Amino acid sequence: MNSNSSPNANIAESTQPIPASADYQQQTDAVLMLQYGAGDLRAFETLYNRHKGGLYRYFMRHIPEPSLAEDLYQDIWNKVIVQAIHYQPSAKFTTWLYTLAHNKLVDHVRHLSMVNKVLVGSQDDDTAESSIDLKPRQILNEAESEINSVRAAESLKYCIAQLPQAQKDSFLLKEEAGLSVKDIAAVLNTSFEASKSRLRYAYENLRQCLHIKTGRAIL
Amino acid sequence: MKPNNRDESFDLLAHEKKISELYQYNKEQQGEIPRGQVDSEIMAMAKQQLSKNTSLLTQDHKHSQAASANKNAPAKTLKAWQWPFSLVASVGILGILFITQRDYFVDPLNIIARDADIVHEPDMLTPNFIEAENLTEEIAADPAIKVKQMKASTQKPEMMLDENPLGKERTAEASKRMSFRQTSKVLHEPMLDYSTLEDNSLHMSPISLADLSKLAELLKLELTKQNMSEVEARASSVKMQQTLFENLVQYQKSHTEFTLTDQYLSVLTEKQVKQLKLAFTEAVPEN
Repeated sequence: MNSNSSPNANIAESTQPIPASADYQQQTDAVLMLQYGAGDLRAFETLYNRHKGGLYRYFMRHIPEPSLAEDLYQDIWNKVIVQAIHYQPSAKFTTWLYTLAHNKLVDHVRHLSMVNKVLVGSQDDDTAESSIDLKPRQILNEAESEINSVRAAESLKYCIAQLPQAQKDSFLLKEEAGLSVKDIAAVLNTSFEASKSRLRYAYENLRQCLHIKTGRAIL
Repeated sequence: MKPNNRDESFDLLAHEKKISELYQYNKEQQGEIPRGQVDSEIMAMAKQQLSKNTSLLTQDHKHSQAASANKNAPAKTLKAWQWPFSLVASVGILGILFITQRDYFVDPLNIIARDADIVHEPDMLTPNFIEAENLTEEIAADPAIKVKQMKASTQKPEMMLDENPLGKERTAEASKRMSFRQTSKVLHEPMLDYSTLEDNSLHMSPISLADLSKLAELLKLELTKQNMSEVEARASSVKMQQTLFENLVQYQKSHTEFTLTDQYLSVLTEKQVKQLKLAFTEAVPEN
């Protein structure tokens, strides 16, 4: 897996000219990056505000420790800032951004003490049909503690955390970054079919998990 | 449930849509965003990098300017030296041309004299008759060589050489001594020994005394011409002298009573006069 993704890839938005003074909110990500590369700090500010929540949550969902997730999050933005001067808008910005994030996450996890745990999870993830391994007792205890106060949203967050790594990745890229299956496949360096399959299983596992957690079926 | 993965489209199923809506709702409600401190740190990084980029760009610009200046420097030096170099080269080439071809520039007469040999033509065309005469006598006196005298006006004298080695030796020596300076191609044409003159007389149209006189006058006039260049005058007069000389010889042969006057002798060269006199003295006893 490549840890340093190049920002170069074909995309139609690269042909757009850089506006001299523009309504930053209406500009595409690529244009904002080019503007920042040309010395416009406000363009970066707009770009950052546009993507900061999604990227932050992406890391937070993967890494339970918030400080560690923040570090990784900062690292990614630092990369974006440094590479802005050489940025060629030939790839969709979000695809490039989340490719950096995914690679960073994988590299970091490998070098942490939790590497074994993650690797075991990754091995399980090789099969797209992997499901959430919820022990009945664990569910019972947690469910008992939250039985009256747990809301569906928190249950969902819990279930996402229980998802296998590959399914979680696909789900977050879909929901947080808003990427298409094709782009998810590009970020995760997998085939379209594999990404699609992972997504399907992720949603299915979440449905089952939510049913167990809340005691009522979503559908 | 086995999802259909055959086409590249991906539409969320009903329960998937519900989950997605739930997630998006949760996202908005919780407002899970990085802390303000993290935001400010990142923005500070962005600002710092921007100033770095600006300085880098300035340095790059300076480097590119310096590089372009360095590239232009040799070109400018070349251009600066191009002019004087061309001038010196031109002068040098002209100088070499002048030195090698100096004769053509300084003394044009030399060119004509060297190239055409016109000036020396009379000397070369004039055979050594005295020597030839002596040699003829010597050959005649030699018993090894039989000289068969033919009729002067119609036939050339033929020399029948014996086969003995002494005769051959003598003949070789004689022929060597009789050989004229035949370096020039022009020499082959007007052979001015007796036989040639006699031979020429056959082909030459008879010229009257009046014409000869006119020719002599013309030659005299030619020799005294001052306005003509020296070379041209000499060249033309030499030709006229030659013509007059040949015609006088011819005339002498056919007119024994003809006497050479100063009119002719004054315009001919000394050699020609000598030869003419010699021919005249020989022609008189013969007739």
